[in-house]
Amino acid sequence: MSLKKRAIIDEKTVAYVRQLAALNLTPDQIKQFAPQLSTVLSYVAQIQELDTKQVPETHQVTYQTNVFRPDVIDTSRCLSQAQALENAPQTHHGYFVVKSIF
Amino acid sequence: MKTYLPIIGLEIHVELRTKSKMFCGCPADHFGKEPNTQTCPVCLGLPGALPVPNQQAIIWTLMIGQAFNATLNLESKFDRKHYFYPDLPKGYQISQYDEPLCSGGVVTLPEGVISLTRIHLEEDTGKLQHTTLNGQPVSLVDFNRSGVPLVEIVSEPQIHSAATAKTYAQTIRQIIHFLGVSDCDMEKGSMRLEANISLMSINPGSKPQTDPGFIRLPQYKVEVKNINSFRFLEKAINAEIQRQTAILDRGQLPRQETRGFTEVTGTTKSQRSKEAAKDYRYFPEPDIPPLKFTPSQFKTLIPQLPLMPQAYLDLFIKTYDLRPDYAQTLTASPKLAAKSLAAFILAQKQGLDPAALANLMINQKAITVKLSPSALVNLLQSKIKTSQPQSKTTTLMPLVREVLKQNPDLVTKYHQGKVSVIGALIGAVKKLSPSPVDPQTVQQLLTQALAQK
Amino acid sequence: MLLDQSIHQISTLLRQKNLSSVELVTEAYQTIKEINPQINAFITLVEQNLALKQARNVDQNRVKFTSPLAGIPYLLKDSYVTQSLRTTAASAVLQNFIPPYSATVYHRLEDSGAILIGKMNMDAWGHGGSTENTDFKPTKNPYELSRVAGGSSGGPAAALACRLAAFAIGEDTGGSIRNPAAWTNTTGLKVTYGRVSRYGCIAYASSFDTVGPMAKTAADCALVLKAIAGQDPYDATSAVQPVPDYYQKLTQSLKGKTIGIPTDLYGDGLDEPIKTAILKQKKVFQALGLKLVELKMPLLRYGLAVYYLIGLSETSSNLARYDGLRFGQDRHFFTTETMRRIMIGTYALSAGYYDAYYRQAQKGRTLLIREYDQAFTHCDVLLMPVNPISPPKFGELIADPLTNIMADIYTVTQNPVGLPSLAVPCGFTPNQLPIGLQLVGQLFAEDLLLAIGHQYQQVTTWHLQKPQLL
Repeated sequence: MSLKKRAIIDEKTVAYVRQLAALNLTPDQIKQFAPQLSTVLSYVAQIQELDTKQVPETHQVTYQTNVFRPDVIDTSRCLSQAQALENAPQTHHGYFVVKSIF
Repeated sequence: MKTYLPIIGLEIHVELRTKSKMFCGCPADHFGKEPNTQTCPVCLGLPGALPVPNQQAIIWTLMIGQAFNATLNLESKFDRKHYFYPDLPKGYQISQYDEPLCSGGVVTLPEGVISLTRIHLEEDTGKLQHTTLNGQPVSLVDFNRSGVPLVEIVSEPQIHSAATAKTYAQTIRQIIHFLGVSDCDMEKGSMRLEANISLMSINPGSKPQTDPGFIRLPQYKVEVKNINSFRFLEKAINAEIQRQTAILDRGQLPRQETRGFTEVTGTTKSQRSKEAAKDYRYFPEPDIPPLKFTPSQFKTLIPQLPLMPQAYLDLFIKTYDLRPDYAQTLTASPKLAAKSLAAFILAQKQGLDPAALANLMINQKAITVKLSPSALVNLLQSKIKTSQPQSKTTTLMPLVREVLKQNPDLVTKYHQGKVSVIGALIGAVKKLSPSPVDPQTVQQLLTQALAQK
Repeated sequence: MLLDQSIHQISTLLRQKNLSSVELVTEAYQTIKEINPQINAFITLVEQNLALKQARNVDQNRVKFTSPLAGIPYLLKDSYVTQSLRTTAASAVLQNFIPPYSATVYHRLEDSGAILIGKMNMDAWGHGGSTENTDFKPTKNPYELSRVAGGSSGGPAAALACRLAAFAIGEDTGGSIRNPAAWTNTTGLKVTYGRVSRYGCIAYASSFDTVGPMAKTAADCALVLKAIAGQDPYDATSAVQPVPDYYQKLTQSLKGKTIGIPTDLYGDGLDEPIKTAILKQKKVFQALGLKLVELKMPLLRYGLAVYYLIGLSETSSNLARYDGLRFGQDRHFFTTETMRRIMIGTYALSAGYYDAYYRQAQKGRTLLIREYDQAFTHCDVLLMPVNPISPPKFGELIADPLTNIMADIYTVTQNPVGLPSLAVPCGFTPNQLPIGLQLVGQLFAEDLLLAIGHQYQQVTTWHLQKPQLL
């Protein structure tokens, strides 16, 4: 199957991907996204035209290796409990609160 | 009647006792701290924060690799592992996927050798606590543990019984303890176990596979989590073996899933239903440059390993002539092993029998903990009774050699035919020895030694 | 207007006490009050009293503040966290987010004595090229209010065009500094990847994002870059290369340096007036001592695919932390455009598609690096267009996902390769809309780019023009 064909995203795929991405889409949005995503993916699928046999991947352009930090405690960046919690919608006795997913 | 062979692999996670976290400078020692008091933008996953790897954590992971004879990979990197969960602040965990720090390795057990698949480094998640607030079920989240360095040790599925699994886990724990890189405290959570269990049917009457390379692994795998002690590990595995046997006996295939061990019932319970959709979408971590070492850099970077349990055992049994079970007891902890070795060295210098010292130390545990090696040797000396003359070759031999060294004129006379000087030599040994010696043994040893000169 | 002058001029006046920072900041706020309602460049305006307090502090402690940026008002694209000051990335997800820490770039500017007066509008999370994908209403182009200012750093660009501050810090992932600079007749520098710390920069695509200066001129950019560049232990990707004195190097000799012109980029798809305006500048560069060569870079046409596949994959990952638990609102509040980008990125990384999309794009990136390496064996700097079209009217660009993508065609190849690029004004269309060109250099060649830009601006006057609005 050529990639061009696979580049057509159907609603089922949109529903699956949105789940992976934790995005809540309405059924209308899922309907709309399918052709839109297909258009974009069909265009970028031209990446397949490149002859990449024997070509290594480049994951980053820092051209550096082995960048470390020493094992020391850096209190200058540590947040107080209040700072850590200050933007949270719900907290309880120093904890973040999330509705149970179980 | 069908026979099943348990195919078990263990994944062990070990929290490194570094001062700071894996990717930021927050304190790593989180046990018992007030919630969310040891966080920063990095380990809290705030917008704009970036990870910078802890060098010590990397070195310690390599040391763990060395201790298990793993291959230390010259090139490795970090990757992002994506999934959504409240205790995972970035929505991905920085881990290692296809280029871990260490590959392979072996764990030697009395019953055989278990191969390791890999040893890699990642960051720990926060902690989730389930409770009710205003009648609603909620989870409370604490990020103090988020970002603490975690080493994952993965075994090949070569374990075939719960007992072996327990020995394996205990051995790993002991070795890591001796390295000094983790407390390995299961109660505190600095060591965690996960088991992958399946059963392979071996049907009598079918042609036995003679080529080990063609062993077909079972077509499913059950992951068991929430195992909080070695005892529960055995229980969980046996419970799973029982459960899977029943299913297979019915002609069905156990479901591939994650199950949690329940201490109360001693059984496992299914934890998650959508197992198939575990798509972690790994890709190389763009915020961290890759790791690239030369063998000589490894030599400079990685300190010499402290003595490992097996090295201590070898010394205690072969050099100091200890009973194997005594040797085992004295290698229970790195502190005890080091103290014992120091004490034995001192004892030998003073012509005392290390085995006797070991005996003393094991029978008087409380005192052993309190006293220094030299104090222990002194104690032994004071306890030596005159009723039992020393006849151990290993203890007497150093004295014999010393006497011969100190009396070259007597040695010469002996070789010239004056055999009677042996009496004087025996006397010299008696004098040198802190405790009474068995004259016959001494005579034998002297004769042997003289014959060799 | 005081803020018509260069940073160097203003700094001299301040040091000689012929001008006070208070006067400068006061003028800025007056202009903002008058102009911003028309262009909507600001998301958060720093409280005037707070800014004036800092201005007074600089005025009273001149001896302590030796940097040329001391006492000078500036703007931050709202993708940089600022402690205790709301930071939104132009998204409703963060509309009430008050960061507990500040970006390194902010700290460095604070140390220099510069005065932050605004957090600026942008395409949310960097997702866009027109500052229309914002939850804070679009920013309008000061040159024509019915048209977009460009993006994603549209707010800073539009504000600078109107002299609302002396400089800004934008962020460029695929053209987000250069695009709006070119459409608002201002100057913007995309730096070499890692030249400036990304710590505190809300990430779009981690291996593409760059932190860079925007101002009226290359000389101003040079002064700002000097203050913000340099390694940061909090950013493992920040460069260790020493930071040259960019300002001193502005006057370096350009004799013998060569500008390469990739003729593939000047064909179909580029509006005629833009093409004409840019190629007209060849004479100017020659007069400065530069040689010109033509060359071909056929692989650049795969740049959009490489950029979008890697960029969207990385953004789908970087936006995973926005779950509304520790801060912000939940993922419902993402715009449709942002959700589309997250979806495409997630898909490209998913099992079964990773090899065909993400992995293939990373290989494509290697080929782009080689393509640029090959080009730079023939020249020192490449001359390219910035935008293929002039600023569209609102709604035109975002009507179609493909049109939106294609507009980035000239600015997306430099980021995957890490190369620096300077965008400067070089003319106007027949209907008076700004045109910009970009000079692309090799890694860490900012000093050369700024020198060419500066010397070009010494003999041209495009950059001195201001919108009718003022």
